[in-house]
Amino acid sequence: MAIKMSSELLDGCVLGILEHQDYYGYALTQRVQESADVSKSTMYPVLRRLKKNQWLTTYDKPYHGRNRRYYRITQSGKDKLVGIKKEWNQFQAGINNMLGSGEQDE
Amino acid sequence: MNNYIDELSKDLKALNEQDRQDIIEFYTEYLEDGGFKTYDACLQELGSPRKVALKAMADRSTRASDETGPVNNNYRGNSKTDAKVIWIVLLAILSSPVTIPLALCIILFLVFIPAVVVLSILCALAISIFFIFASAINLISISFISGLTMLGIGFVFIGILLLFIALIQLIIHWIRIFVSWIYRKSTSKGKTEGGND
Repeated sequence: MAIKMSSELLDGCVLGILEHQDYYGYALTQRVQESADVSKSTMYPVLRRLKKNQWLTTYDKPYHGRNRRYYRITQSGKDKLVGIKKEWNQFQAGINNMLGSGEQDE
Repeated sequence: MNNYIDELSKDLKALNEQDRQDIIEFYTEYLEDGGFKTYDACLQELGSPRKVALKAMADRSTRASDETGPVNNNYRGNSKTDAKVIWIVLLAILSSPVTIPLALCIILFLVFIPAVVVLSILCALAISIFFIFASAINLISISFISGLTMLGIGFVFIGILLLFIALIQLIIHWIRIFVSWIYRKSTSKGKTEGGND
C-alpha cells in the first residue's frame, strides 16, 4: 500500500485500542494488524515511546507460570488521544475534500 | 525460539543492560504468546533478529533527539552517545539494500572526509604546541623575555585546541540530528506533513 502510517497516527491507533481494554504485547500486535498493515517489529518502539511519554502504564499478570505485560492507557494518554482524533478528523476532512468523499457521486 | 532470542540479545550489545533486558522480555513474551517455537517460525513472524534489533535501537535514538521528547536535556558534550547514535543509524540504513548509494554518500561526506580533516588539524595543533613549548624552554635560558613570549604563544595554542575540540563536539551533535532526520525520511515512517519537524 502506497499510503504510509505516520508514527503520530500509529500512537493514536494504539491508544485508541487501549481505551477500550488493556492488552498484552502479542494480542495488541494482532489487533493492530487486523486493521492496518504495520510491521510487527514497529510495535515495540511504539509502546516504548508511549510509555516514555506516560501515555500508558504497564503491569504484569501471571500466566502459565510466566508473566504477561499488560498495557493500560493513562489519563494523559486519553487526553493525547482526543488531540490525535481531532487532528485526524481535520486531516481526513481535508483529504476527502480533495479526493471526493467515500460516496459514489460520479 | 531461544536461538532467536540469543541472537537478538547479541545484536543489542550497543545498548545498556536495562534497555536490552526490556527488549528481550518483550520479544520473549511475544514469541511465547504467539506459540512460535522454532527459529524459522520466529524468523517468519518478526524478520531477522538483526532487523528487530536495529529497529528497536534506531527508533529509540532518533526519538530521543526529538525536540518534543521530555528526556533530552543531557546533550552537552555528550559526543560519545552522539557517535553511537550515528553509528546505529548508519547500520540501520546500510541494512536496507535500496539505500546503499545514499548510505555510501553519507558515510563519505559525513564520516570519512571530516574525520580526516579533523584528525589532521588536531595533529597539527598538537605538534605545534609541542614544538612551541620545546623552543620556549630553550629560549628561556638565552633570553628570558622571548622565552616567556613563546610560552604565552604556547598557551594560546592550547586554547585554540580546546576551542576546536568543543567545535567538533558541536558539529557531531548537528550531524547526529541530520542523520536522524535522514533516517526518518528514508524509512518514510516520518510525518507526512511538515508538522513539528
